Amino acid sequence: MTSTHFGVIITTFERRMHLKELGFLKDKKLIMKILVFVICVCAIGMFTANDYFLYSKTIAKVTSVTNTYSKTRDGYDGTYTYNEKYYTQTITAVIKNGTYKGKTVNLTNSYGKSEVYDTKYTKGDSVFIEQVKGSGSSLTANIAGTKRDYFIAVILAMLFGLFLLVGGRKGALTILSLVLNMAAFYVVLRLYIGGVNILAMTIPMTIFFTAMLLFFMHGWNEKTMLSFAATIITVAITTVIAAVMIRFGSRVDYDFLDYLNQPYEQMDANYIFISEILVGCLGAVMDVVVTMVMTVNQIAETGIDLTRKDFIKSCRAVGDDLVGTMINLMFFTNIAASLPKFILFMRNGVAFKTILRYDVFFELARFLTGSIGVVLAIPVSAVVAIWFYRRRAEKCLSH
Amino acid sequence: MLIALTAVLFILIFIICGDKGTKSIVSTAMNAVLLLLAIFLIYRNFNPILVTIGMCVLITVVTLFYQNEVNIKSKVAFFSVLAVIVIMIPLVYLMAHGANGEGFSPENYEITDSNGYTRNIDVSMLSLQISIMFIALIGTVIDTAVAITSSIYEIRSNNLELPLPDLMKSSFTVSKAVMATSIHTIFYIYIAEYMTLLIQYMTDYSLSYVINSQSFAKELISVSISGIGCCLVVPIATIAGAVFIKKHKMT
Repeated sequence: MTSTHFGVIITTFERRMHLKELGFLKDKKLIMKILVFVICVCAIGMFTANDYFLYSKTIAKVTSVTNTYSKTRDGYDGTYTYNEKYYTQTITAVIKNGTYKGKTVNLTNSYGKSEVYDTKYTKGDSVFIEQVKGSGSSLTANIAGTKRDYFIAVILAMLFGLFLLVGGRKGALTILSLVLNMAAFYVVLRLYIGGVNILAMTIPMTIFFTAMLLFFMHGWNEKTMLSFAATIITVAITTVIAAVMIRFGSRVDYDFLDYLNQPYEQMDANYIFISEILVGCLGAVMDVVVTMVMTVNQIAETGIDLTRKDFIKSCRAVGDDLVGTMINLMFFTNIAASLPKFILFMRNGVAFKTILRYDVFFELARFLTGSIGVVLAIPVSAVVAIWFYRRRAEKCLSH
Repeated sequence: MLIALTAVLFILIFIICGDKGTKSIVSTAMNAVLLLLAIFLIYRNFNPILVTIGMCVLITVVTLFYQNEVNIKSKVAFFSVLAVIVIMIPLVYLMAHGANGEGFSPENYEITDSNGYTRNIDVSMLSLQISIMFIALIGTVIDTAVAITSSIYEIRSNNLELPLPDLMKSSFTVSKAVMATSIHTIFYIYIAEYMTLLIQYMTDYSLSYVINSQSFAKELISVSISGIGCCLVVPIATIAGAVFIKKHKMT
């Protein structure tokens, strides 16, 4: 894209604006809303950045940092050698809560330039400290992690604010549905920890949420019912395909499933993995199904007496439009988080094939099963919708 | 199992989809190759952030112009995606830099020095963290942008005389629905991805530990960045789409 190209777009845009065809963009209400949004985000950020009194652990805010080079270590991956520089940090910080409130404390920290397992602290960071020792102006302590709650609060405020700002009523429903989803998920995990089979709870939860979500988003009508049926059928087929492969394929090595508590039982890990697959494809399947059902509905509503072949042809055309970007979304959303693993392992001399086969196995498996769900959703929803509308048409004729 | 799943996916696409759907295999493969190329370039010491942003643009080009062909819909979608990437750069940088989320967290205890993954690798984990956010963002933003521009095109082609403000109004109605479904799609993917992490939080840690922990901050910020990108692309694609598709001569 050349800059002139972009310039042309901007000027056409401005000309349009002058024509007041985009007048509603300058709406005072909109400006007010944006203002409220910015103020809310700032206020939440300010509050959570200073909520030291909520914590019983001692927190200090870094006021100055000096980094001194300490050593260089070599890494070797079989072909290349890497030089990792290590630094020592001398940190001065002010304690923000507890008995030492207001006092200055000296901290030390060391980090490697890559920050693979360690952290480089900078001025302005808030850190948890433990074992505060010394007296008067020569307090020392150990760092026990960064205070990150205000980043969480700010990003969530921005996200939810944008939902409301952009989506309006739909945005509010989205927030409500996400919160309810999280709450139900929390209950499921609590019960799981209490000893209940995770898959046995994920299945009813999925059914319930599909129903609730479709009802929220599209109201109570026949389209919602059809979408619900098609979604459940598609997700069930996808999960069964995955479960059969897990059951009869080679033994899945859950040592490579990130964050899985150890020791684990193979069967229990299997259930967790199947639950992941089931939940992972749910959103995408629903998306495809709703669009398909709408299409069939619209074709049926036009009243043109379409033969079954024409129906399938139109469905296929709509489905084709959806599949590509959906599979892409699945791919990037699932794979993105494993990027540092690739780099770390490759630079440690792990063969690329090994990484694909073991270390990102679960990410790839979720991507593939999700995509299978997306593709399956097309014929399933088409068949369900066509069956319904043809039956209705026949009823109409017989009356 | 991966090979079997891939086979099932390919067979299904061949049976169910027409030519255009089959193209999606090729474009996904191309995107996968691009991603691998990016990984390789980073491995060979190129700047991760620059490589990633370059790759994001290429991925967008492949997905939009190869798969959906060069037309007014994909062009508008392309510019919307680029605009979102540019807007998101400062936010992503600020969040990644401030939250100290880079690197591997203690919750990911399989990956340690003593398990043979030494830390002497000389690649900035902070840059990689920024790369992750962009890659996670790109899929959903493209999907949302295409859905919006296609529906605006449909609205316009069904009613050629519709004046711009009305076109925009009905476009926004559709866009909001698109946004809601896109958000849910990525939400469920992430829930699946972090199920084990959530279980670990609930068995081992207190709430105050979790909301300040590195892993939680890292994942939540990444998820939210995708969501925010998804929200931002809605007004951009809708306004740009309505203006340019209105100007576009229908054939």
